[in-house]
Amino acid sequence: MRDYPADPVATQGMVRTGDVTVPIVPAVTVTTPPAVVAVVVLHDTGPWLEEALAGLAAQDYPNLSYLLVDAASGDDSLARARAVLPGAYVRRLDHNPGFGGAANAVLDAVEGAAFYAFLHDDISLDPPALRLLVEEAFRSNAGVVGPKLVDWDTPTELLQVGLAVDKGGGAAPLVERGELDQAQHDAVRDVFAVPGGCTLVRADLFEALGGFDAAISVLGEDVDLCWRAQVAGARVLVVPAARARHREALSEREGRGDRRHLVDRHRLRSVLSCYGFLHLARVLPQVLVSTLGQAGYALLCGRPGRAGALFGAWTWNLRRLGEVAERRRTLRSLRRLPDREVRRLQLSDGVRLRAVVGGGVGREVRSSLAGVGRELTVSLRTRERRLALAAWAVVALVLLVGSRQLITGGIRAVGGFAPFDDTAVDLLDAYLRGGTDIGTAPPTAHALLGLGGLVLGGAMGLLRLVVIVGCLPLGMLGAWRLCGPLGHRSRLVALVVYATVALPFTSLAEGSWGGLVLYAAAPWLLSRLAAATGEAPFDRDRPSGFWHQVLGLALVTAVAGAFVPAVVLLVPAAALVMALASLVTGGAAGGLRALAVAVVASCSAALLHLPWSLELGDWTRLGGVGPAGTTGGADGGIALVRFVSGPGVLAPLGWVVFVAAALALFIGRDWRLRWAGRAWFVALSSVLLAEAAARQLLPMPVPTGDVLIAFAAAALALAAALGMAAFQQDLRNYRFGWRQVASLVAAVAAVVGVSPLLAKALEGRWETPGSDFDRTLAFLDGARSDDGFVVLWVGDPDVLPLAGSPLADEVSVATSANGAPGVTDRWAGRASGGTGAIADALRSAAEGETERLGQALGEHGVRFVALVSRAAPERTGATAAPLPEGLVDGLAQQLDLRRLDVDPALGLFENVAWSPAVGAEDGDRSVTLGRGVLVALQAALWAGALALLWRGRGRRGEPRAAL
Amino acid sequence: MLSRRLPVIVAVALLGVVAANVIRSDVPGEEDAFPTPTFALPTADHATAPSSTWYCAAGTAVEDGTADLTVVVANPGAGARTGSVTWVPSEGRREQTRFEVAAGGVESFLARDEVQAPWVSALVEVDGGGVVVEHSVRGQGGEADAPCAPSASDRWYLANGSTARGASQHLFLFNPFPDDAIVDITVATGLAVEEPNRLQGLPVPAGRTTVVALAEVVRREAVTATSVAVRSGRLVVDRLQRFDGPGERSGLSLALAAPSLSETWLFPDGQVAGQAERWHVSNPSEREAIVALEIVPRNGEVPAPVERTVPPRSQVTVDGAELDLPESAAVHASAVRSLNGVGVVAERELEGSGPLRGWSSALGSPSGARRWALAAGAVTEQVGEAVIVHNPGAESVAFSLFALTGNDVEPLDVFTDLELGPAGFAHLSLRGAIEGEAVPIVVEADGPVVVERYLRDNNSRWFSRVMGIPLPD
Repeated sequence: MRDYPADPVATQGMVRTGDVTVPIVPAVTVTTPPAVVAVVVLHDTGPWLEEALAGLAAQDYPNLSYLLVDAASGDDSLARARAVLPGAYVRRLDHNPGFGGAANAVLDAVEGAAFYAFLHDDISLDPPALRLLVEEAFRSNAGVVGPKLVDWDTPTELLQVGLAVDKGGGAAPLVERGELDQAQHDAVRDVFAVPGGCTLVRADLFEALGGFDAAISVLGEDVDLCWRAQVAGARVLVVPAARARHREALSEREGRGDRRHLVDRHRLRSVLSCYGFLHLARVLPQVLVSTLGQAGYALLCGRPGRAGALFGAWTWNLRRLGEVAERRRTLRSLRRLPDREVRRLQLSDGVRLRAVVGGGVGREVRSSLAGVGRELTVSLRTRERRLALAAWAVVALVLLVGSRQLITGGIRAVGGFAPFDDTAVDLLDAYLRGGTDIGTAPPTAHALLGLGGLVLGGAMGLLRLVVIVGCLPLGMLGAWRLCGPLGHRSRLVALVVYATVALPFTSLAEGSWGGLVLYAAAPWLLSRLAAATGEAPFDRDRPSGFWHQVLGLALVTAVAGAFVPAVVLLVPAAALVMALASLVTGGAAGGLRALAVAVVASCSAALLHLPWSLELGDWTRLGGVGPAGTTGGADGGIALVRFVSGPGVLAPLGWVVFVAAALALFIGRDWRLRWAGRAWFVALSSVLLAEAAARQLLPMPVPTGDVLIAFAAAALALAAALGMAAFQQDLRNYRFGWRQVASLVAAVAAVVGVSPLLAKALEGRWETPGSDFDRTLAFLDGARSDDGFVVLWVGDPDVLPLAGSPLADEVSVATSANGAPGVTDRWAGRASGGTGAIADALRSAAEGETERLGQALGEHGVRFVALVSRAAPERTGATAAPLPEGLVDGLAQQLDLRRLDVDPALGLFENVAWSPAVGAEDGDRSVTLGRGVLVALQAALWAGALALLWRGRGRRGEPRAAL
Repeated sequence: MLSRRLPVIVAVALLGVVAANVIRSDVPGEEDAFPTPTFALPTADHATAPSSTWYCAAGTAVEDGTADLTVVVANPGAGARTGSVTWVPSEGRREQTRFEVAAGGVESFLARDEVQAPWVSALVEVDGGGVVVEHSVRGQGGEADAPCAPSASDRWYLANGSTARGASQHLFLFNPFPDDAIVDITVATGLAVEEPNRLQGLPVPAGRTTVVALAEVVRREAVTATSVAVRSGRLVVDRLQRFDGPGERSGLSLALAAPSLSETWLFPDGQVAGQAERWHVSNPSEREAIVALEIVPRNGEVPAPVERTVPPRSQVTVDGAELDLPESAAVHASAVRSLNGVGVVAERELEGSGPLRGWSSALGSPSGARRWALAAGAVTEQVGEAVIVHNPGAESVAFSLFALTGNDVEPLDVFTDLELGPAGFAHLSLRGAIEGEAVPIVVEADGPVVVERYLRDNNSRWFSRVMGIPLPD
């Protein structure tokens, strides 16, 4: 027995059980060793428990008490533990808060202890371990000490001898796992953290720190505690002479995926809590970039779940910013060491890099690959999954092959696909400052793209590629998800049918955001609408609360509406059609419910776009909507559904999608028939609307054809999927006859319908023009000077590279500042007074009432006038949208406009009356208080909506709460 | 099950049928939001127009010049206008003359008061609409007037002109724009089509006027029809025709070319005593045109139309002397109409003979209008003026004449509420009704009419005929 310093506190130690406080009986009274309370957290332990506790019982430390904390075990763990440690005090919890939360019970249960030894129930200490730890704690004046951990079954192999942590909170072992223990690491040393299997903590320190972070259920609580201890000035030591065998049985109780996302979120929580403000400001962006890199790597490895976990860590912490702030306040009051001191034990970048190169990540890669292999094996266990995987592999291959030139050579600035020249910060700045030259309210798209740019680390070109090309798989994924409740094969059919729709490829070729975004969004929107009916089969695994459905639909609508505002009106329109169809198909109540959800969701989406949505009064300007009768012409309607249109031997193939979609109407029963009817109503109504508008049969402005027809495409995919569902479930009820033949025809149609897609994929760029006006207009950059100037764009809205104000049927005007338009010019708000004056001047010129248009335009800083008659240079063969002859002639009649010959598809005039002194109209671009408040309001609305949606989201797809 | 399925299929089928019907219907042609203004005849801008511009291409600006240019700006509107005349000389700097013209007022500007140059053009810019601008040239051959052009064009047509001995025909290609223009000029005669190399790809510098002496480029021909096609840019084209050399003819004529073709050309007045009359029809298109010349006598029976075939890119002339018109048709209006829808351009030439000297060739009017203005009229001791009003329609019209007195537009009492029957015309001499060097006239009718001005030297040395300028209703 060694002598210990007298510890008056220890002699007064008490253990409370329930409401009764029990005095700790000192083991010695003359030279009293400090009281140590071993806290063992039990929760549904395994057969190792007795062996682990036997180690504890064999400790040679003289003043040791035991506190067993039973975290709501559902088995006899506690009884077994008491059998081994009959003198132990017990604390029962009515739920399992995780290791940290359970261990914190010691704060209420114990008074006067000098040390707490927190132990997992799967750790077995060598007999002198606790004694050695306490001795070293005194000797080194340490706050936290931990033993050397060796393998449970093979104690000669090392597991951990302390932990290092990088600046992002990522723990790294200081020894090679599995390394033979030859006492080579047996020196006592300072470490950043000790593993949580066995941790001896000075009791006063533990109480001052508030114990473990209760929000960290498991994994990461050890690092967090040690980090905070370091901040509070306490040393953290590893004492290798003290040895413990660790079974690491956590993985037997928690799923592998759970562990990863827990580590990610807890690590980030520690980073957010433990750094001071300045250090946090420096480190957090690096952590974000690291997250992105890891997520990208995970995606490359085919582990989207891992990427999701990485991003989920951020959302998890963002939702707990209040707690984090509280923790930061607490820690600030305890801080004794600056961050630079704390970080002395963190891994430096160089060390980390060496670790990466030297095998740390190499192991991770190997582990990842192995994991991928395992996941692949699991995913291929069933035939359906094999089919699904194969289908997606083919789709991915086709998209990659078909988009290869777009990916490698970039997407030309055709039509609305303006280059993302602005940085992410610029976009956010444009959002804050209030829109464009011709708009007053900040388009939400600026903010979304700005944030997207930040997420991609400022790679705006990559963002543009992702946003544009990504719409294709996103739409297909939406169709996949839409038809998920119908069964594996049905969603496969939906995927195939939706992939064969011409719309996205036509939109790509013409540079149309409207068609592309709606192609991506329509199936998601339909999916939400279907769920809103509360009817089978879409009531499965979907939240049923009205407001939750509203929020979900509102967010999808809002995101799509940021790029195509017309979607805010199309969603209730589609719901209305579904409701009307329900009068025939049955399920009127569900239809009405979906309509109600859609109407409220659309209003909510409009609310999310405040103040931009206030400009919907002038909504014909807001992309995707044209004046009465404008729909993109004959190709704006049904031709966009058919992949092959016009004359030619392949033309009939364009109709096969309709054949495939018709099957459910003829063989479907019950919900298959009901939903097929609704889907066909939506599809035909979209087609009807688009075609009627193309023929100027409608008295009001309507969205352009590509926007309208997207719902038809998604609905047809749904109908085709329902056909498969009917084939599987209903056909068996019929005797052999025409229905079987019809099924065969539909199947053949679906398969044959793919062939045009495959043919087009070979071309490599989906027929998008191979060149754009960028080079043509490069001289505009050279025209830049200190005096800003404006370029006035005139043309059909379908080919204009930016959003404009209607000048006449099929003619819009828009302005860009200091050269060719960028992405910030794509989504405009209400026309300013200057735009109106410019439009009036143009009308005067077109009607021959003035020959000094340049003078009038010069007052608004207009130096160049561009008449756009094609989305791309003439030689590309891009669809022509001729301008009114009178307008062209009117500009040619101007005495102060000099024509510059650039391209037949782009009539460019230089305003010789422009004076640098006039310059571009800057307008009010300052971030005013009012604008700031509006932007803050909008941000708050989005955050609130996301938070509410998240709160209402249940675990594993089950609804947690009906909001 | 059928009871559930049938309504669904029927409803979907009905919707499909409706959609199919819509799809099968034709996509209507798009209406041109800004139709190209076709003005075969110069037309004044509406009074509410923010500005108006007139281009006067031809003239000289030297002492004793052959075609001393005067620009006349008349304001028959209700509000005063300010503006400027920019003189574009063939030599030297541009000069600008600012002016203000009162409502009912007229201003005249002599080019050589501002610039000195062998050739000069004028650009008139007014800060509003409703004004009319003519230009007059005066030389040894007499005087001639023509409207200035309210707009430039990339096509210009003339059906007449002469490069015969003793004649000099100059084309004034006025490019007021900041871009150079490139033009191709084609000259057609009854026998051939000439595309002289020198006149192909001919550059007309920005802001300048290029003058082409046609006789130096094409062969000598009694009648030439000219087409000017602009490859890039826009132009205004005037023709200045002089007969001052050896030969029987003498006179000076100024004409603004027609920027577009028309199927109809109306001529209110015809042959008067001592004048020979010819109609020249040019067909610059690639299609053959079949045209009819209609003579509308003041009294008596209407003679049968004279039909002619005008080959592509060619011209024909109908000589009045060969028509064998009855005596009753000696005083007549006339019209040239295309019978097969091919647009043509038609001029009527009047040539003095005997004691009456002078030569005039002017385009007709492609259509009627209710209001007309004549800016450059004059009734003095040396010059007489007549206004000819022709009703080309099938309904009677009433019309009145007004004079711009300098600050007002006053009706001419003797020419108030006159009536013209169908196809009728009236030849109204203004002597006694007005007096002065520049007294613009406005004609207002309750139906479409065509108005022409006839100026003549009281000593019979020259005469000038020109169409009025339609005013918007």
